[in-house]
Amino acid sequence: MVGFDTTILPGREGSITPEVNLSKAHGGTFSKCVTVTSNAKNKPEMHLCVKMTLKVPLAANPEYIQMKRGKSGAFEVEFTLTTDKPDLAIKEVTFKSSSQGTGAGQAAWMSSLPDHLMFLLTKQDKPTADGSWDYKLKLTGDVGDLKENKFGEFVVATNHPDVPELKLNGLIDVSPEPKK
Amino acid sequence: MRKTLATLSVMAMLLVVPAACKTGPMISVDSEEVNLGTIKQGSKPSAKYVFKVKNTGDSVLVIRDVRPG
Repeated sequence: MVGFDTTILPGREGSITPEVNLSKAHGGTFSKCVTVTSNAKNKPEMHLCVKMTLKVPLAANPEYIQMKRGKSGAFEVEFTLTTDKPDLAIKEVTFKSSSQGTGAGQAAWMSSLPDHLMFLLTKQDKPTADGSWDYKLKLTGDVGDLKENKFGEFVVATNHPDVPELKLNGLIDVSPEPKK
Repeated sequence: MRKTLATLSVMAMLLVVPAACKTGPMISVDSEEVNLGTIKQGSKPSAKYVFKVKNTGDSVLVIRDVRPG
């Protein structure tokens, strides 16, 4: 979105006001530019850029979680959480399936219940360059004898006042490990 | 006849001289890139910046379009 004055008299000043929507933006440093087209003799096309660093209170990387069968036979995944909170704690991690399919021998009502996952949060020693903290979150879960991939939502309950629940889309991938 | 010629040349000068020092519209801005620094997500829904654009030329500057990119 951008507001601007359409005509500026000689010697006068006008304004061009670009607006960047932050609700859809991801964390990190980025630039948003606009191209100004005018009848100016010196610069018929001018680029105006706004640069900023957006600090997200709590973000996961990657944002899409894929749990795969590990060596122990249980499903597991590890990903990074970046936060401004130096004493982040996880209260609970659940997986709520959105698939219609059920696990073997599982009643339909059971598959609609969220699965509780075991979790292990490890803090990295040093803060990142912009003063945030990185944590490794490892999830492990025994979700029964799945025959097909299970898509759904991982809900990470935290002690962060701004993000009590971090919701992440993902899946439990039942495809076998490639044989060596 | 001579008078007519003189009048014509004066008129021609009047037309030519202003045209020669005309620059047309000229656009000028203090900075084409600004850094807004660090913003905490959730603290505001959007970030705005007002670029002050000056017309340093001698005729009307018409901004036809401002589009992202």
